[in-house]
Amino acid sequence: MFILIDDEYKKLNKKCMSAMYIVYAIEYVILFLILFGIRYIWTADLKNNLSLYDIVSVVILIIALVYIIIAPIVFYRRYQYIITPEKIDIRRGIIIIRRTMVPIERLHQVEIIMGPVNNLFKLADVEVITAGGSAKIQFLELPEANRIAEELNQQINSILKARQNNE
Amino acid sequence: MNDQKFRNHPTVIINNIVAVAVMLFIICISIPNIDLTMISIFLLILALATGIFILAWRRTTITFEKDQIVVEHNLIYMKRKTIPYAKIASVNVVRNIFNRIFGTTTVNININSSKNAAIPEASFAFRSELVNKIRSDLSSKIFEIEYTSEEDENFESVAIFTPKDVLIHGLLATSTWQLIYTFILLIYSVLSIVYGSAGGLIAAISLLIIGELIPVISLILKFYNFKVYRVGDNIRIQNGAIQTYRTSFDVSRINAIRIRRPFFARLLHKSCLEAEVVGINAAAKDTKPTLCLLIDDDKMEGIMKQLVPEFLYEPNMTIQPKKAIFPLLSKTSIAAFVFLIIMAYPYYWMYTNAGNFNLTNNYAQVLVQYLPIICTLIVILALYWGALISYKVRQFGLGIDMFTMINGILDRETVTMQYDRIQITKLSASMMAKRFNLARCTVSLLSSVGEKRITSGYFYTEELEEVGKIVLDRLSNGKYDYRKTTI
Repeated sequence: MFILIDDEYKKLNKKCMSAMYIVYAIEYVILFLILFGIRYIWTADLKNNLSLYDIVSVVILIIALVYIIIAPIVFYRRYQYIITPEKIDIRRGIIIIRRTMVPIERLHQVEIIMGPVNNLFKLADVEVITAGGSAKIQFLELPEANRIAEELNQQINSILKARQNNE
Repeated sequence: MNDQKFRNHPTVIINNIVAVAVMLFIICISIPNIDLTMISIFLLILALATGIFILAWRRTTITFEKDQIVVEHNLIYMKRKTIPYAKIASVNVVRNIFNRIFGTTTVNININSSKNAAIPEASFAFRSELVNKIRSDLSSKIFEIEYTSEEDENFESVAIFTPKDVLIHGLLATSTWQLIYTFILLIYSVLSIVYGSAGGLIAAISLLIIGELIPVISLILKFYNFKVYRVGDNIRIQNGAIQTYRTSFDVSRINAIRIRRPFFARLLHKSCLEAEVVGINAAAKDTKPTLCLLIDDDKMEGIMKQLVPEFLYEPNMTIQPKKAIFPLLSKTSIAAFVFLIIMAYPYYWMYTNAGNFNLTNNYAQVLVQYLPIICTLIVILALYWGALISYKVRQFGLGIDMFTMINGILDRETVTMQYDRIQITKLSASMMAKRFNLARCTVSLLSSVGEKRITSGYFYTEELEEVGKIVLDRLSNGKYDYRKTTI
């Protein structure tokens, strides 16, 4: 019996923004170290006059910082998903808005993925895999992720059983 | 043949040993001052590999059961793989030099799965007579068609391809970007000869041989004696000069059909036909599963009528709306701006250091000084030209059972896909596109070597949403028949 019938699009928990901020902060530090490392290896003397490289690096770091501050808020506001007996529909995007639609009938496999940062906030991604590609419902609360994965698996099994009975 | 267990032909062991020996030999000669201890270690590795290959050969079996093929492997861990006949997408037979020396043939069995699309689900080498029998049995079980090896020798191809056609296909069916890259390398080689730079010449010629000459020669050898024909719903292809390749698949296993027109082939009014079927040429990691070599455009419809009439329909093609030029130009402008920023430093450096090159000719000095800005302008103009061509070329059309996309800038392609093979649909819109209610549609489907994504141009969102709606409608109203897809 398939019970996953949402009648409206669901939004994510606000915790997703915190998880994104941590991931972005780590990436920002890595970007800073790369730019700083190149500058250090290149000149080996940080007291040099301001070069074109320094100006470009600072511009990149400022743009990245603005993106990092705004992106999680926009991501949270835009992210919506709905799971019906026929399809999984995900709407998301920061600069480019995307809408992904996966027919339930095409599902082969469902996976729950928890990275170290998601683990801190008890969040998980559910990845649905088809014969030709996959899609992710991101930053779900763990019980919700488990419930979705469990019910999607049940749905896959019931489709397969129905096919076997037909044959 | 039912329930009889088979092992690989023992010559597979020799094949594997020779491959390892060649690899070790190359490592050996690349190590300077190699001593006897190192050679002993390499010989020990070769002996160990030989033992493993013999053990693997003994413990790997294939059984052709009533409804399925069972592959058992028991070396370090036990593995039992069952392949139902109903799930098989294509069966290929390959005869490489080793096979020819030992009188064997390799059979590759592929199923509709993106995970293993590039690697056959089962691959076994047997004596050629046994392969003919296996192929005949498989053909009647999978495609419900009787097959005899004599058919392969005597059948009449839907089109005759002379060595000249194969040569043209080998030269022009490759990506135009690859040909442009070759042209640049050729110019560089000529300049290296003129200015006497031996290092530059060797590097350019090496890149030319690796990047263009070898792929073109291998294409010509691969497609030599290309034949394709259809028996009932079964399509059979055979080709190859040194390595003979034969494949057969049911037409219902085709996920998409593509008519490809690379730039230089377009100038000659030629196009080729490709089919996305799991396993076609997968062993060669070929992303262009060819169904018909480059032929005159006016003959293509006739070829399709004979080979894949199921994919011939009259789509109501739509060109991109006029508003589509805005997101295209805005995207191009961003790319041009980023490129301009990237080129700022080379320009600054060249402008300030051109005097240090000691160029005697004033014109040469000015040219060097302004070279980065000239290159930047050419690239930016090319980007805008590409955007305009993309605006003119891209089309999209919906049919009852399938839909079509026309894409490309230099190399054009018309892709016809069945709704029932679409796995995921994705609409994406930038801020500018959203302002005009436009989006691009990306569909994911199973290709010859795994997942493939095909993206449309900019069209009205409602038009593109129809693709997803039709896919779902076909599932709910019973038009979709899972037995035909075997996915």
